[in-house]
Amino acid sequence: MTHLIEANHLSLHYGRKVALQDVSFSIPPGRVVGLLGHNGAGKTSLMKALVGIKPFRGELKVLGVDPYVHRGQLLDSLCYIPDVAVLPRWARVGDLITLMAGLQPKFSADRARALLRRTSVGERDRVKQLSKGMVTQLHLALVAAIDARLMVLDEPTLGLDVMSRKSFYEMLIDEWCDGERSVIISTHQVEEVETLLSDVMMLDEGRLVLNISLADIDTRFVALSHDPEAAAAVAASHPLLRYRVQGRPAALFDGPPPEAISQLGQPLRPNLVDLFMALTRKPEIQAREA
Amino acid sequence: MKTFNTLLLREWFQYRWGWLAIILIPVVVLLALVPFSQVEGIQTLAPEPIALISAGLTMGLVMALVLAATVYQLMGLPRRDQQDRSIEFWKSLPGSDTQSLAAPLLAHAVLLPLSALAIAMAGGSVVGVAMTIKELGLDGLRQMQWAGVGHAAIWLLVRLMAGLVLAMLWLSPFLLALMAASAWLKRWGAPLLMFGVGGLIKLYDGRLPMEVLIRQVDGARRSLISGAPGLASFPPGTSAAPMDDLYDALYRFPDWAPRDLGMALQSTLSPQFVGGLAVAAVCFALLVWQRRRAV
Repeated sequence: MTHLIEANHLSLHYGRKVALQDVSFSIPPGRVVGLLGHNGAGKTSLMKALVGIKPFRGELKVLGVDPYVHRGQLLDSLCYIPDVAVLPRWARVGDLITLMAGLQPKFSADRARALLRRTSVGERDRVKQLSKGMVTQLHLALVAAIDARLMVLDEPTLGLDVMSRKSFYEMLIDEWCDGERSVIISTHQVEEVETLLSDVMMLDEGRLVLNISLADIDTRFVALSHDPEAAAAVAASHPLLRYRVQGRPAALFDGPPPEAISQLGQPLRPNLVDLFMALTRKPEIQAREA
Repeated sequence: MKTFNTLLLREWFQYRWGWLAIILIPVVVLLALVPFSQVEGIQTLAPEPIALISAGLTMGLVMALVLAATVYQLMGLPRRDQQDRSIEFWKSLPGSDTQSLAAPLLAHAVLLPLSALAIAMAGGSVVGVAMTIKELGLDGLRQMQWAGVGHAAIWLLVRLMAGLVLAMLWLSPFLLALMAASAWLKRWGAPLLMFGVGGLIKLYDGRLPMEVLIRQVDGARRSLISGAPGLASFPPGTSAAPMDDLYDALYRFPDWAPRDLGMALQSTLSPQFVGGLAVAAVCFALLVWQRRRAV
């Protein structure tokens, strides 16, 4: 098996509502994949399908098994943070370490304690006494102490301040990622994770609209900063997105823009936020704003 | 098995202080009330009846509180992880939904009452000794027939523990039906089920279903006291227990208890008991199904 995740024509429905539609992708070992999308785009549904909580249609193999059928077996080698607020509030940190050691065969209590020493969370603390940021650090320390091959993080830093978010991602990259393990992170904080990611997947209304490595973004997408006088000509060339960079108009193209347009401005490196906006914003809104 | 044991440990971590409080506080309160109490209902003040009556009252109070708390907890058990939003954490760990429900059910419905019974017996013994000292002084302890009382107490504990497990099995269709109703219909589930079933029985003159329900409850009662012959019986209408009969019962109890337990076990070999277990199994499956859909 070369890929940790292989999805082919994956679909997920809630009654008549379509959450995921014909999604196909694969994730090899050693990648940090950002899963981006608006609220309701299908990120959480995809994550739940990946960890075997939701049934799906199509073909999905995670670590070589069907996650819904073999959820118990899968969770031995996969760790998952569904949301920041899900640790049981009645528990002490020490209780959680004891319980994780009994429930998760690949969990190392010593490693969890070592990771917790990097934080301000003590073993005698109760979850309900901890701040949101501390609970997130605790949750990451617990799952990072699992000798897993794949980590699935569903908006793990939602509602945290910038310091807590930075600490979270530092611990994740420093203490868990080793070049063989893969992480899939869904988040709205696109700018903050951009430097961590090796790949990005974008969902829009249940469809996978982009699946690309960050290295390939620079070669595929081209942004062009231009003078306001050239706006009409640039618009006529149908860019993916028209926006402003440091007060100047800019346009984002999928592939190199026409030669005549290239000469009207200076090329820029497109960032993930612009790409996200370009690929997931409704065309009618773009047209209205243009 | 390690997963299941850890899930049992989780119950201990989550409820240990509540459990200890509900068992120990009544014992401590009764012990504190000893100086202001007196034993009535026996012809002559003798150490054994004083100790047994005091211990019995203590056990009765503790078990009444524990069983009431158990029923209350069981009603909330199916949805507790959804209510505190921790269900996704538990579901992110290996372990099936069946185990996640069976472990708390076993802990609350069986292990807690059994532990409470053993602790209440020990606490009741302390209260009994204290009451004997209060009524008869230290001479009371010297007169006490420790061997007879101790032997009877051990058999009482064995009989009640085995009976409690059987009684819980007899009552399991009721408990699990109420739990399943709570799981699917939230806080209105249990009242709706009770009023719904009661209303249907009233409306359609359901004598047969009523008889089935009564037989099920009677099975639970017989699990605890089957009424095997051979133990002293007190004449009806007597307000004070005759001392000879009381001592007779005390010494006969170790022989009587196994026979009574045998009768209780025999009553489980009935379609009524097996049918009840089948209903309980269906209700448990409904609980597992609801939990599987929960996230």
